[in-house]
Amino acid sequence: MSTKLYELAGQGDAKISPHCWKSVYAVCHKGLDFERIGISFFEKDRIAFSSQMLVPVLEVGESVVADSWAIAEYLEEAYPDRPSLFGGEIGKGEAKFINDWTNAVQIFAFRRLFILDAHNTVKPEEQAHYRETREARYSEEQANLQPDVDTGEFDVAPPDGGYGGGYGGTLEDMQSGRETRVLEVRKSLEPIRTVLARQPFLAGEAPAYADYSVLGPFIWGKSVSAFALLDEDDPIYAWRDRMYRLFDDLGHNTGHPL
Amino acid sequence: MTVTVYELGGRDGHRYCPFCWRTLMSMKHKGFDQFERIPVGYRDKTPIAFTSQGLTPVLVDGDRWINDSWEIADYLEEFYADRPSLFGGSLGRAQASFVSAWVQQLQKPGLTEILLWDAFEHLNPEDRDVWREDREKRFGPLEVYREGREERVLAWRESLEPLRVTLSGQTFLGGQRPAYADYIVFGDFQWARCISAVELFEPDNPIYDWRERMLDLYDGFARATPHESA
Repeated sequence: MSTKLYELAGQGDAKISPHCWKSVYAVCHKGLDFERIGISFFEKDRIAFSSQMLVPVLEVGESVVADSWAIAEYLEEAYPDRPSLFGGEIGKGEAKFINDWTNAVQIFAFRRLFILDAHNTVKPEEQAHYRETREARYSEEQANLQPDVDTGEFDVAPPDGGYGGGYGGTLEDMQSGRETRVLEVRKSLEPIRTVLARQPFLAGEAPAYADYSVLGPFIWGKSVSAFALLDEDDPIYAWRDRMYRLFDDLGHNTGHPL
Repeated sequence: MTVTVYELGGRDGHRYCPFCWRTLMSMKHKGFDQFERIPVGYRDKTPIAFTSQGLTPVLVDGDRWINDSWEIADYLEEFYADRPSLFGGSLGRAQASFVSAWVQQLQKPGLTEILLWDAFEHLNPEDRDVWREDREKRFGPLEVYREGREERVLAWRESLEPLRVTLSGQTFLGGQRPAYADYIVFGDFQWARCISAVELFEPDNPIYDWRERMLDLYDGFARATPHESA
């Protein structure tokens, strides 16, 4: 049965969505052979068969599933004999919380560190569209909760005052000052740092979906930007390296060096 | 066989220690309908002198004693394995430690400062001077925290977003039923409820509804304790 994952893609087929990366790792975790199909912003008609316009979309034979969390649930249910993504009902409940933390805190914070780099990774003919939609949307975002443009997943407002300032302005404005702001962003990652200082993976001795949730934004960053997010002596750095080694060095072989 | 939980006790029967509440809820989860609860003062550690350490909670089960709420959860999970699980396996246990680390981030800075004055007021009178001296080394004059709690709460609420999103889609952090992850988070909110009139959430917040469910568990066990807010 053929398995296909449709992902958001930019120049040179770079995969540029954190949520799509979560699904890539989830499918790998289940040990499925699958085809990765990059869809750029102007090619959304290629997923029209899913009756919606957001990636990731997983197609397994006759089954079509959109939304990264729904994909993870589908995989867990459809392949119960393969390694588990959640480890049961309680683990699934907690993994959802970690995934929601990732969306609310981590993705929100990361985006402002490389939004311009992300723009530059989009196909040249789509960059004007990318700039226009992002500049409009992120200006409104703090006051007006909306789903992510490409994935339909909700980000939420940052803590009062934002991570080093509000959104708005041009993409250049949003990304400026990142060398300073990254220090605050690193602090916001404290919960995973605490955990990873005493266990190899968020899911314990081996990685599971919670790890893929948190990895998604890192590998998305790596796909679009050379900007260093972490210090080398950060326990998160060592974990990320372990994660990049999974599935034949998939992470290390993706995008920029770090 | 007698099972006893030693927990931090304040004035007028107040039992507010967040870590103790993790243990108390875990005891109920594991089906201990009746167990003895013995208060330990902030200064007078006589009741737990037999452990040669000063931290609560302490669980005494027959001839064993265990301190530290996480160690107690591990003990209960291991020795009462045939009762409802707190973690649902090694993966759930590992991920519960993320919940614990997230709550730690909610506390400092955040909930600790919001509740500092209330915490002072709910101590046994004889504990206050020593407590004040210790806390003022870290936080400065306590009176500073007497005002502005409502404003502090408004800023702090923003950091609850991940929890709000999760609880808008599922009944408990543990899924359909409460698990240790729920007790970790609940412990802090119960601490606030026991000592402060400040409302942590708006009533239309899914977190508010979840806390109501937590308070209803085990015949309203947590609801019945002396408290200052709804």
